[in-house]
Amino acid sequence: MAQTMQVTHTMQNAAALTVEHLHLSIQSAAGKLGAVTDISFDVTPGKTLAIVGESGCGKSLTALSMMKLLPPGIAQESGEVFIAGKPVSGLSDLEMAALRGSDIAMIFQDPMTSLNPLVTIGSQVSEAVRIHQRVSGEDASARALELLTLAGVSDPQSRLHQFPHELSGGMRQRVMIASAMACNPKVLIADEPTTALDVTVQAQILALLKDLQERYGTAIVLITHDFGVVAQMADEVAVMYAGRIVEKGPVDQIFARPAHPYTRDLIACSRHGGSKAARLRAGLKLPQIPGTVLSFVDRKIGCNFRPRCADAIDICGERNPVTEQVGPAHTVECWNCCENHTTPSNGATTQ
Amino acid sequence: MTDVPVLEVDSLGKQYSVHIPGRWRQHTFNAISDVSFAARKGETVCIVGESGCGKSTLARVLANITPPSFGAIRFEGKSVELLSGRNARAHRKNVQLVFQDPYASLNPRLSIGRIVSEPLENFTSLDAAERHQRVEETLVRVGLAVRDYDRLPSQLSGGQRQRIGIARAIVADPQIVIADEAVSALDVSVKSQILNLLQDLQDQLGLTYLFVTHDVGVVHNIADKLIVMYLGRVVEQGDGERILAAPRHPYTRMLLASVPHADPARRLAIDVKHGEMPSAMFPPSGCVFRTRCPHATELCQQLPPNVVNASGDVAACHFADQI
Amino acid sequence: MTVPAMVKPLSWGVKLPRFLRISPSFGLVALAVIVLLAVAGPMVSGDPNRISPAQRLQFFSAEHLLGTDGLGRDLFARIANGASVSMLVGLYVGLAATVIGVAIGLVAGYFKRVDSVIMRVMDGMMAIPPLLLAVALASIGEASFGMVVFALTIPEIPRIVRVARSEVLTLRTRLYIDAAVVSGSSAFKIMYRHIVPNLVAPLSIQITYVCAHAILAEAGLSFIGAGLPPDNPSWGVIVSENRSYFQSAPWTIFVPGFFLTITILAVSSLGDRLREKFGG
Repeated sequence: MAQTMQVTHTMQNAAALTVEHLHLSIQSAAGKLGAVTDISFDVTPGKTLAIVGESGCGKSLTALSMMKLLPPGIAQESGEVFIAGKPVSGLSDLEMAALRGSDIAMIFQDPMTSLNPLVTIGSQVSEAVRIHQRVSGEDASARALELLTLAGVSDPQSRLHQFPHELSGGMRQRVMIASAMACNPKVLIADEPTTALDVTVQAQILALLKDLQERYGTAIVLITHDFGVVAQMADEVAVMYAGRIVEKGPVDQIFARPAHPYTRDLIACSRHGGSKAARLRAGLKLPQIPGTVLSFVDRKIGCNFRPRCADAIDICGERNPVTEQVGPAHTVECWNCCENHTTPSNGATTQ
Repeated sequence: MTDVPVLEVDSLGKQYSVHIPGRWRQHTFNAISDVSFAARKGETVCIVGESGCGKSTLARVLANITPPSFGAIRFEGKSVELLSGRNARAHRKNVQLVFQDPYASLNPRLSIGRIVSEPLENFTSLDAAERHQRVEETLVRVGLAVRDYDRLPSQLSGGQRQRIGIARAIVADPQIVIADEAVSALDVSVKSQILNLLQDLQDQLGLTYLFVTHDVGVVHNIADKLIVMYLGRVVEQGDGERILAAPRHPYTRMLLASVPHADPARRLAIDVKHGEMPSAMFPPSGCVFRTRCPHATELCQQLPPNVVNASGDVAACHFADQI
Repeated sequence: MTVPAMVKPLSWGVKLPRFLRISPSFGLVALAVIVLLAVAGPMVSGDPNRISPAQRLQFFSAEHLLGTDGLGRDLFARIANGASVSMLVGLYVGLAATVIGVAIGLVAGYFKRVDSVIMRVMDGMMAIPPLLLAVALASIGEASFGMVVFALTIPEIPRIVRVARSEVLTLRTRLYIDAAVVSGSSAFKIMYRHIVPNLVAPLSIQITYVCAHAILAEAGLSFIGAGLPPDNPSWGVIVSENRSYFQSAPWTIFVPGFFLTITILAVSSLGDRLREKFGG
């Protein structure tokens, strides 16, 4: 026990962001329900952790809790978040505000509503610099210009004085990235940053994030539902379902040998399995997962994924699975994991 | 299969006028222009493109929610774009629409049964009991339960609500179903369920699908024919499998090359320079793609021809088969 | 990020001290009392028109609960009678204005081509001061209940049209309206099945305001003599008849005035309650 504690602490020092046994609850008409249960992960500087899951799995709430920006009704019950080794739960609002923007920054899904429509681009981008560093107005503007150029915004000089509505969606997202990177944060949380963008713009934004990461060694936590984006960007992957991390590991292992049935099925659904004609000739359907995603109120005893799982066994309905190690740094929460590698349900082909 | 395609579209165009601040006259622009294609019975035609390409406008024009400004639409050989009033309403039986948003497309105050029976009330002369029966059969067919007849849409999940939309579209036996981003708002695991359902329905009922989407993955999965749109124009169209395997238009290539694979061994190159999409209201002259095309030359300021290859696929590029 | 709808955020409102807050049920209770008065009052009180010169201008007493007026008529009987008259006026005007206003508003909101024409006509109507318009209309025919209702309804219509039209304009952009069009429904069917049910909430609120306003307007009309005839008195008529006794027998004016005030407050608070309930 003491040994694991020691290991954890050294990991904390190396990791840019560590989350330990985080529990979030949500206040609802039916009382207090568990929103996120026992989440633990860490992110190394210069690497990307992708948190992937469908709607309602709690990935966005996890992201907000790392910034201590939980909306009313959501509370952190237990657990700890460490930013560069510093625990944040004990920090006052002022101290946390000092961290936000300078040590940890966040970009959001919808660039239209995340930028203030009444403030110029230049002001918004330099805002973090002006708050966290003592610089003159001109220096802040110069820095804003630098950041916009870095983010690949075309014609940055004139953009400084433009307003958000004059820019396209992709441009706005670049502006958001620029303002997030203003103080060179150690951790960047990106909550579905490309979901609302066209696919050609998405490719550019993902490339930009990768480039910035290489330059500045930023740790990125990427929240997404798209396994293509995960494969493109992630070094490590955490798969969430119904508030729990059901599988976590290096990206190659997750894709090559997904241990949890949910991960396996989601990856199968994300790949377009061969040509339609070939599939129809073989009489196959697209891989699918039956049922609907679990909502907060429906969580019961046992494994949350059981109602939709093709490999469920008796014990799955009685107790929640414990975490098992299936490879170096690769863990899974499943009673039946080691029996079913790379055999997707519904018999469809995978690429 | 008859010889006459179930739907033929000829040089279809839709124009809009907007007021630009600072200008005296209204500015007119074409949301779609010069769209032509044919769909055979039982086929799935995918119309794919990014924002501003006009695919939603095309869906609305084909569903007769708004009338076209130019061109012709023929259903089973008969011209339908000029129909109005009662004739237009009668023709609606043949072309139905499944909407993108499973929340906004269902009236939250009406029960599911009433929502799905609306087309039957308008298109058939069945009495109330027969309609009830038919609606129940359709609900089961799309994977819902008979008891859902009396429930409200708010009691169901997004995927289930989309099934209601599909039930509403097929209950009166249409020939053509236009799916306007029908699976875009759904979770990944539910998307495949709905696509499989649509395929089953197509096999059972002989439906022709026009599937409008921006999701290239969906296109891979379901397209027989493919139409790629950019800024209101068709840049490539033809057999889905062939185009996806070997795209001939630079935009199609760029589009397909931008989609990340769910496979870390096949990462896309990091130095992508795709440029910005021009505004749909002020498209570039000549070839609309020339501002972003890596192969653009002076010739591209003239309107590109439709280069048809041996298999009948069309690509609108001066250099279609040369690069 | 979406937080599930069942989450109730903390409320940030400032709470008034208890004694300043009017209970929401005040309106309903008061209204119930007035309705009771209107229905049961005339049965237990005497003849509102029986003149008795010997008992002029008496204060409250056991025989005449609310005193007598200048002609010795029992005020309680007249006020009870007036209750039903005033409230019926309010009710009829409210209903008529709403039905007509909704019909016009539906057409204006749904069909763009006639929208501008209709709204300019409504603007014209709203430009004329309502009371003057009512007086002018009332002078067309002879004084009667029907005439007063007609005269008061017309000025109220434009406001209802505006509310209905703006609701229709919002609803028209909803996706399920497009879906109904694709399902083959005619404009008329879409209006009654999809649009009108959504108008019930905001319009029920408007009806109460129109009612309250009409009761007051009728009192004003009657006060200047352009309203109801004296044998079927409303509260406004009673105030009007007794206005020369302001100094000698002020209760003859204040008592009907008091009832007017309470009724209008009650109806308005009912409207507020509905607005809270429907979130409009």
